[in-house]
Amino acid sequence: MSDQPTVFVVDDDEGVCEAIDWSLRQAGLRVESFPSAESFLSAHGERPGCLVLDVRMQGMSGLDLQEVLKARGSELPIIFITGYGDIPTTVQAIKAGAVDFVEKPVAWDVLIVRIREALREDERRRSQRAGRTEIRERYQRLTVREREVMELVTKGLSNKEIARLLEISSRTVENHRARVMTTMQADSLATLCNMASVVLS
Amino acid sequence: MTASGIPPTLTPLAAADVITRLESLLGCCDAPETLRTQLRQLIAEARASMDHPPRRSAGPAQDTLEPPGAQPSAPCGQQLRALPATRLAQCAGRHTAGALIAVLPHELSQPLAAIAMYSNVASALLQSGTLAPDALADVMDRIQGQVKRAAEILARLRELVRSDGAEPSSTDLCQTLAEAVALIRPLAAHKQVQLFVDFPAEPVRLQVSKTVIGQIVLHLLFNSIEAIEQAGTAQRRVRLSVHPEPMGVQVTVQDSGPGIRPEDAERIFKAFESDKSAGCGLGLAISRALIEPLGGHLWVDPRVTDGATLHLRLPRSAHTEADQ
Ligand SMILES: Nc1ncnc2c1ncn2[C@@H]1O[C@H](COP(=O)(O)OP(=O)(O)OP(=O)(O)O)[C@@H](O)[C@H]1O
Ligand SMILES: [Mg+2]
Repeated sequence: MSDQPTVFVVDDDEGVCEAIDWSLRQAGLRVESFPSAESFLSAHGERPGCLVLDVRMQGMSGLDLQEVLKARGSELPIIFITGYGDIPTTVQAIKAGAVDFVEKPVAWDVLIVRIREALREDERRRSQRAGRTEIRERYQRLTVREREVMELVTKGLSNKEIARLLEISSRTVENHRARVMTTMQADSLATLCNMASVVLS
Repeated sequence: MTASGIPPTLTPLAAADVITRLESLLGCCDAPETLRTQLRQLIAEARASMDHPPRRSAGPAQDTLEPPGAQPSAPCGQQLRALPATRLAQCAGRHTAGALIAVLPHELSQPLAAIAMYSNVASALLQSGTLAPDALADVMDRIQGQVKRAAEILARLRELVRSDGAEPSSTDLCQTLAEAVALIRPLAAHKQVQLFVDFPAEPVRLQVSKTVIGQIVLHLLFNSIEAIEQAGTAQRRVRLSVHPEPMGVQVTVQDSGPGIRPEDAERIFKAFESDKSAGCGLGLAISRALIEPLGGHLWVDPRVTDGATLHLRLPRSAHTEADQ
């Protein structure tokens, strides 16, 4: 399977949709286009890429689609295509986390630049997300006691303080602590603190 | 009142009404002959209305499935009905043209956007020397396609504003309605109003003028969209449906706007009755004047309180059986 990301184009106007599709292919991008938000939702899955989306569409609007994707936990970057008089909608879209917008008539070179940025953003978000998943999996492998120790360590408590709090020996705390560091694959206390912010939030 | 020949005892008609009618008549007619005929009609009508006071539009015993009574129509639509057919067709064409001005930019912006995109990319590729000859042919084809589409839009618009378009011909009703809907869709999308159509699977063939049907339905759709926009209702939808009936065909436009009060159900069909800052108040009056000579009816459904519902009934006489 090729891992080249896909530019998903959603526009309810067939002519405009085809024009965008064709133009992006000329730039060597991999493109899939959809005539409606609904058809995109049923086909997209979780594939990497970015979304080029018309703000105004029949049926589910661009903003509605953005909301649904957000509710599904998708972090696919969105570039909105806006027309004349769409400023309020655009502001709303950006507040809701759209990465970018381009105005109609769309300048091709501008669109391509924005798309490449959005694809990079998607990659960044994905690797961050993959990292978070990985950390949560490691955390799952810790025992209840080890998790307690991890929490207290990352709160800045010393081994002695933890020992007193948990009514165990400092020696045992040290053992737990070492196990936590190996299982979590943390090379320093700072790294462990970062990981704690992922799993303990 | 001052208008000679009209007895001052005409209570069902407000004096202002009478004056408005006379004035609009004077404004509409150039031939003194027709003017006189129309004045006579108006007076006869006024006399008749003295004998039979107008029916209440929301009477409880009224069979609400039927257009309000067998009474001809709201009296003030009469002045338009009295126009010679060609004049009426001209007025209707101009009124539709005025309304379509609002649609045109949305309608044409799409093919133009596509054309701009294609030519933009093609010239960039040409400059960098990376456009293959067959790709050039391909993009020219695509541009041609969009140009053709723009031309078709203009042709459809032209069909709707024809002033000689009243000639009946064998018409696929749903096809004609679908074209009107297609015209107004980009505007509806821009106003965030959803349009739904509900057509029977079987084609409905009628011997009517496409222009007339298209104009009336466009007027109704415009009114619905304008009503929703003006009221800013949360629900923003319009439904157009077609119901073949033993006695003819009924076309219904139903919207989620603020609705029409029963006491306004007949008033709004009068010429120059408008609650809009930029409205002429002619859309419904013209629509009625267009359809009644063909034996059709156009009325507000008084049962519906949830948004507005208007029915257009096209009679059986104009209803030829589907081709078999
Ligand atoms: N669907 C509707 N919902 C609510 N009110 C309506 C609806 N359709 C018509 N009306 C009312 O009826 C009035 C008359 O409508 P009509 O179409 O005759 O004129 P207009 O829309 O005001 O002006 P125009 O000549 O531009 O059509 C409108 O001003 C509006 O108040
Ligand atoms: Mg109107």
